Amino acid sequence: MEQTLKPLLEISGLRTSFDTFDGKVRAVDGVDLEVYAGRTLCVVGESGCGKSVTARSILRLVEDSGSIDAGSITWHGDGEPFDILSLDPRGKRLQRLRGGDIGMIFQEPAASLLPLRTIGAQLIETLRIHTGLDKRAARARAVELLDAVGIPDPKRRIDAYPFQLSGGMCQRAMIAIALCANPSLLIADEPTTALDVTTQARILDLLRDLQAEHRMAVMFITHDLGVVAELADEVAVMYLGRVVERAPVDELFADPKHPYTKALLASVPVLGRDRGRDLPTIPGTVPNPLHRPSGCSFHPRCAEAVAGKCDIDAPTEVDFGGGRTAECVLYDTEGARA
Amino acid sequence: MLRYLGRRALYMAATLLAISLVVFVIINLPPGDYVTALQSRYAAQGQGLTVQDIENLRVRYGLDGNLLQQYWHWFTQIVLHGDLGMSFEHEKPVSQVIAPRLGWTIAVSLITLLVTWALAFPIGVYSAVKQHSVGDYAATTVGFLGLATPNFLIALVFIYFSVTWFGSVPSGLCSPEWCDASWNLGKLLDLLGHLWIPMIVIGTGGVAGLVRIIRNNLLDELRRPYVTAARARGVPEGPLLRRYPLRVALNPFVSTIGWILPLLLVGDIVVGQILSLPTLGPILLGSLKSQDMYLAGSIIMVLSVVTVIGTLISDLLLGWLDPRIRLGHQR
Repeated sequence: MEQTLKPLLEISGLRTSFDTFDGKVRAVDGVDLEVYAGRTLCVVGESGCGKSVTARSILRLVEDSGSIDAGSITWHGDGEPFDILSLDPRGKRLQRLRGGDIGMIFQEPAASLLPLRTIGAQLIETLRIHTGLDKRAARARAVELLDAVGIPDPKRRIDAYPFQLSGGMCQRAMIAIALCANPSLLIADEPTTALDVTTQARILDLLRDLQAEHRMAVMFITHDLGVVAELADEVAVMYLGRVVERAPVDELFADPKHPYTKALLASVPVLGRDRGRDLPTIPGTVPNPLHRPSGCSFHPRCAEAVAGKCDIDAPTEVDFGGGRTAECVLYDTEGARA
Repeated sequence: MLRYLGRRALYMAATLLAISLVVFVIINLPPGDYVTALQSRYAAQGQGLTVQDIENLRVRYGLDGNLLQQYWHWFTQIVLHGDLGMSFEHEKPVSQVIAPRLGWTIAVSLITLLVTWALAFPIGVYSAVKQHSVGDYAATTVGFLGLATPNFLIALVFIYFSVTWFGSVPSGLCSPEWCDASWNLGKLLDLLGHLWIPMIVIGTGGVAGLVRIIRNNLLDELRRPYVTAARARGVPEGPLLRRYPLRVALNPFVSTIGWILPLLLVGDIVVGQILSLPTLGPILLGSLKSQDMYLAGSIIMVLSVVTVIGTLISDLLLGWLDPRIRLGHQR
């Protein structure tokens, strides 16, 4: 089915690294991803697997110590497709892409808003950058937007400072800012991690409603498999800077291919099932990306590792068809279990 | 905002009360009091004070009674009558000694403060935005030199070079031919010609300190999530810097009025002596040397008042700039 859809965003061979005192850390090490118009791609993985850096690379938001070394990020919005990485970093097109074509929301909503300016001021500023509305029209539109993201009493709240609002309300304001120019893609970088469970559920509902309403694509970064099950159309599982498995959401949960995905799913607690026994965990910890294991980077923690094979050669990507891939030696190139 | 203002004003009154206590204790630390000192001085000159004179003076300064009563007398005299006491060294009321110099002191300090800001702000912003650039390293190096060099040393270096190059010592705030003249353009230009020396001498330490503060604060702020978030929504770099991190980095800058004002006033003491400025510094030094305690205490008191007022101004500015401070108590 995915083959008939045209990708909106195409990341291929992306490599992003950071210079540290200990050496060059390859945070993203050859990532290929596609986001399709109107659909939701969830990127899951443990902390430090490079999912946030991938998201930030798309809008060229990697901080000064980091650099994008290779790959291309092609934007197929309206008009000619182009490589975002080849844009002038201070140019108008990139500026229009940020916030105009692609909206982004972040992990800590309160810290992502400047405490010294009202949420209205920050929303109106973004509106005026991307829509060219005059001050009064922008303010009226801002009230509508705040209302649309479920902020009660928007006429009054528009003049509230971020520190006067709860985390959930700040995230709603961030969503209003991200969506103010009707972007075709929303990148959500763990937007509910800092919120409590009830607020989290409401924000997810809101995102789903808004997505249906605006018919936009969503790239959702998370480490929460529950969120994945609820939101995703497609899922990409990342481990140590690489996408190890890609699948439509139902298939991923029903039939995980990569041992890492299997282990991840096994470690999700199930009500009733897990009473009286320890929750299964993945042995070991995520290796330091400075000292990547040879061969498959997951092999030291893998229950199904094949000695003499996994620790020597990096596995190639196996295509199962229908948008399913896995990077694992357990499958031969036709996708059958070897 | 009114409540905020009221609270700050209350703190200010309390601070001043505490300072006045300390100052009074300092005044009373030397053995004997003002009248006994005066007596011995007149005796040394072969003149005597009549018993009536002594009695009048003792009543005027409330010298009979315990320390607390004396403090109360001194305090009410200042607050109700503006009477700071007599200067023993100058043989004039303290207020007459201080008044003409206070204006110059405040003027020199304020101008220095403004120049300090005007220099420190752009340099600090530049070296934060262009961190690790040649300009940043140059500013940092010069800044450390400025911080590490005592003001009086800079003053001495200035004097040395002006003597060797120009054959004259830059002293005071006006040339002899202009000092007694009434205000006109010539006198103003002459003043400006003299003012830059104390300004540089007193200001270098302040500029260096402020550059460090702005640079470090801005560097902190530039890494905050709200900067990334604002960039992610397409705010161009120039407005981004002005409207976001600079707004926050401005806070410590404004609050420096509180600490840089006393720094400038103290800097003025030594430098004023070396460059013989018509400011309070030199006479404070003189009064301390000759144990003219009413004068010394009063100067310290006046400088404290100026500093506390400066702090109040910076608090009000902060409240105006930062809604978290303004609204902090009414969440």
